Amino acid sequence: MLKELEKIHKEALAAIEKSSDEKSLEDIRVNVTGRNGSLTLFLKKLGTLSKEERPVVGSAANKIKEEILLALEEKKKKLSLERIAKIESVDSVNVTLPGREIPKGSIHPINLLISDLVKIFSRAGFSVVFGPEIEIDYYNFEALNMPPAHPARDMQDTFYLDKGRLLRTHTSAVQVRIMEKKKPPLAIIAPGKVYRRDDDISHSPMFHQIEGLLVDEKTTFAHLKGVLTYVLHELFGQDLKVRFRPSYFPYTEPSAEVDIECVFCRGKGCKTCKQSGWLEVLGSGMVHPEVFKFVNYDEELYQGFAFGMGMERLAMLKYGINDIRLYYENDIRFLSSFLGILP
Amino acid sequence: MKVLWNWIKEFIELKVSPFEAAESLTMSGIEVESVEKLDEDFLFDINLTANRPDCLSVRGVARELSVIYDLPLKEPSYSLSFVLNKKPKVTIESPTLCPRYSALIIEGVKNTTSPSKVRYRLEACGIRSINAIVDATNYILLETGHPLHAFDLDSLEEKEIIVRCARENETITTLDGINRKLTTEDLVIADKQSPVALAGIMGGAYTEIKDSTVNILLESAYFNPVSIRKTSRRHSLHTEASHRFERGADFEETVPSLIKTAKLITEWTGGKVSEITDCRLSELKPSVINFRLKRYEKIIGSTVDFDKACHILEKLGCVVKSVDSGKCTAEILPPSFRPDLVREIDLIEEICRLNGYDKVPVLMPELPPVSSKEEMFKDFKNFFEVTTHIRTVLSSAGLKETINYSFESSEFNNLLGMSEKEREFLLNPLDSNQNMMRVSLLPGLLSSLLNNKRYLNTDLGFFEIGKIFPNGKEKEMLSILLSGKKNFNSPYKKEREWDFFDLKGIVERIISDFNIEKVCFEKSTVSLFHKGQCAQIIYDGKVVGILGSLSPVIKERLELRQKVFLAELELEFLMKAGLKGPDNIEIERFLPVKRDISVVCSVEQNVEDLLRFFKDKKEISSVVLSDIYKDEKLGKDKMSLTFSISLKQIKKMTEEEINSIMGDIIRELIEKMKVALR
Repeated sequence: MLKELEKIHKEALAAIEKSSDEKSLEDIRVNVTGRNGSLTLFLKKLGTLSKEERPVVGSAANKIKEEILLALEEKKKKLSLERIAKIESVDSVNVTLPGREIPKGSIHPINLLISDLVKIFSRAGFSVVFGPEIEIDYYNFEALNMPPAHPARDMQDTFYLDKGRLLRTHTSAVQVRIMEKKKPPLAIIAPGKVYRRDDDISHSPMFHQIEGLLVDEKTTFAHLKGVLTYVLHELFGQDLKVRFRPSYFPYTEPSAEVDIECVFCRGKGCKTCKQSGWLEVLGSGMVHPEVFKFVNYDEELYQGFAFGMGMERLAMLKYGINDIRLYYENDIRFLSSFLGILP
Repeated sequence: MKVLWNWIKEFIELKVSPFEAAESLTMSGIEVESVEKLDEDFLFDINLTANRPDCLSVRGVARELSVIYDLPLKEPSYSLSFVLNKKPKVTIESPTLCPRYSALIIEGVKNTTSPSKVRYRLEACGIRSINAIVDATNYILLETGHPLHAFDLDSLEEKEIIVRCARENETITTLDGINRKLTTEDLVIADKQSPVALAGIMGGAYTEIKDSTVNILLESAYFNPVSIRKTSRRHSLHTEASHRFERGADFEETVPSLIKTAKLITEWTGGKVSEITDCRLSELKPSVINFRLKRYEKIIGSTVDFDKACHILEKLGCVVKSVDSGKCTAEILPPSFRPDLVREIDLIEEICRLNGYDKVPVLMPELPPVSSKEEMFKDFKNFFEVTTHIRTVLSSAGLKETINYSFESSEFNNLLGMSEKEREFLLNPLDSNQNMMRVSLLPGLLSSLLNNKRYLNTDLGFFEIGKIFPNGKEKEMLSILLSGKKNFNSPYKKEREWDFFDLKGIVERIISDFNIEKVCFEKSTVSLFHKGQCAQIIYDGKVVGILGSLSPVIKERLELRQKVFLAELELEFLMKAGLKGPDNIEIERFLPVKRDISVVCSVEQNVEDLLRFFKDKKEISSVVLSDIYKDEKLGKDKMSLTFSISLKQIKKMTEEEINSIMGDIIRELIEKMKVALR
């Protein structure tokens, strides 16, 4: 009996060893341990054995059955791994080949900067507003305390249309329009195109500004310094030096020109900052009482500040652009520098 | 304005270096753009703001430094003996334009050249040395800021001066040799017969000081700033004198500067001085301003020592009266040379800038959070969000954003066959290439394309968001240009060119992001476009945009070989509709049933209508056009379209139920849409 058992054992293990796919393994399992399998049939014959022999042969048979099942299982695992490895080797790719491209375009740097600034200002509590580009003298000059024949008008050579209309020379024109419609408190920024009759390496007849205005009953010159320092730090980095220098605008008083430490030489002096270490980036000031008169605000009650910043210049500093004309030629070699940057 | 350092030091004893002084001036509001080292001196180039005529002089800059460094300002005294027993005859006929005119006569001069120091200084400051008499007037102009003029007395008809407006058709040849036709608004200095100077701007050639001049009349006046500015603009004549008068000269300075100049002239050329005629027809007196320290603190957000504030004002030349140290208030009388000091805020600024802006703390205001409820700001916020969304979508689709000028060439617009209606022209364009406000964004995109073509870059995908100005009205538009190759050969994808349907796909994608039910694309013919490839976009019965391929005629005119696709879309209807939020979240319990339907129809069949037919069926959850097929067997001008549709299953449907629904749909399709089943 034991010899027969030994034979079944050997044959099964040899068959398992020989098999090369998962299907033949299953056949072996059926042939050995299935309902009519050799080992099953053998076990059925155990009843014919003597009392003494039965447990000895029985336990040997069970041990062999376990061994065969284990061998089956192991072989199956091995074969399955081999099969998957084969699939993987067939599907293997050269990972150094380039990926499939998905399209990548660009947003104009001026609009990227405007988006940045709108976000920064809205964190500080300012709302974005817009105004017309074709203006009348009243909003662009007169209500900003620049009566006809005011010398400050010289700074802003104007394009005219007929019927007294003009192209706004600054986004400050939006100030009065907004104040006419709403009483303080008011915290707005107004981005947009402006136009001046100027065309050279550092001036373009069309450019972009952001105007800002904050009016309530308690906004001070110290707050002007606070907001503008915050914004310039957000834009250029927290360690950037910022200074406020007295200046003059007819629609603000006190007025301040804001300089930042030259971003190219970090204040050491270079060609861009004309060796001064400083770059002028925006004009600002406390809203002039005369402007409040034009919009019927009580000048003793309300106070606040306004500022205007040129986008082309700021973008030049932020992105290192050296010629203002690049902005409007739309040369794709220029525009491609901004590929993939989202607002 | 140019100022010399050693000249400044004649007025103030400074211990600092010129560079240090320049920095201090800049930080107090007198911006020194550069300090140039000369052989024996330093030249300051000062960029002065329009409100500070008082600083348009050596003395003015010195005065500013005397406040900054708290040093005394030295005023050299001039003594002059008036030995001639006569006075110039002066009549002012226009006292509002010339409230004060002072003059004297010097007889028996021997004109010569001025001392070398004077010539050096004048020329360093950009003024040509002429002769001793003219140089003296210019020297005092630079030193005190007060413009003067010398006439050749013997050329003056009847040797008298009349200050009046020019008469109709009068002319004058000014010192620059130009004959100028005058208007009745121009103030002139005239003799008995005709104008001899354009008042406050430039003298006349006829009465010019010559080397041979023996007797002179010296003028020192105050002219109305607005009048000077208007005349100066009218004649495009900007001079050192007009620059100062239009900003406001010092009413009290006419006589002192007259004496100083006469003193220099007699020193250099000899001659005897007459008595002064001082016509003072009206008074220009500064008004008293109340100053409150409390107001200063409220505006600035920090304080300053009250005594210091008063001291700064005094140093500036103000008279400080009725000082109330308890309430910290005072009455301030500004000096005559500061026409810019008229309100309390002007004083606040003076104190703040001279105390130093750096002493003001840096504080953040506490603003209420931005609320989109504010109706007025809602549209603006919406506009900003919509344009940001479109920029993001289009740049992610591979397009590059451009910005073109708002003004463009009418000639280029004509070349493109753009309508000549609605054009708005600039009255003073820089040149003819920028003479009209754009009425479409497309010419701008085409000129961007031409710019790039110059560098052989012809594979382009551009867009622009901006205003157009038809009839002067402002309209926000979106435009797109596609040209050349869309993508290049790669192992995964063959290269191909942009086509009409790329463009339409982009436009549809943009529109589909908004709450817009239905737009139609209607075939149309517009001159800029290819007659067979142009559609107008219709929304709510109105044309809101156009797209198509550039007309072959225009392509030839522009010498373009590649295809160009253009679209332009109004933004207003998108903004009004607003960006879509998420759809109702509704996940069907049963998998949809998919079926294909193929139909045969004319190649001109309106496919949008067919798609809409399916979309409108409540049993259908989605439909796509999955195939277009053309074949001779189908017949000429015919095509076959395959629609893949998904049927909604509210309950598990049997094959029979599905077939019954499909049968109904197909029957209605054939009947209503006049197409055949393939």
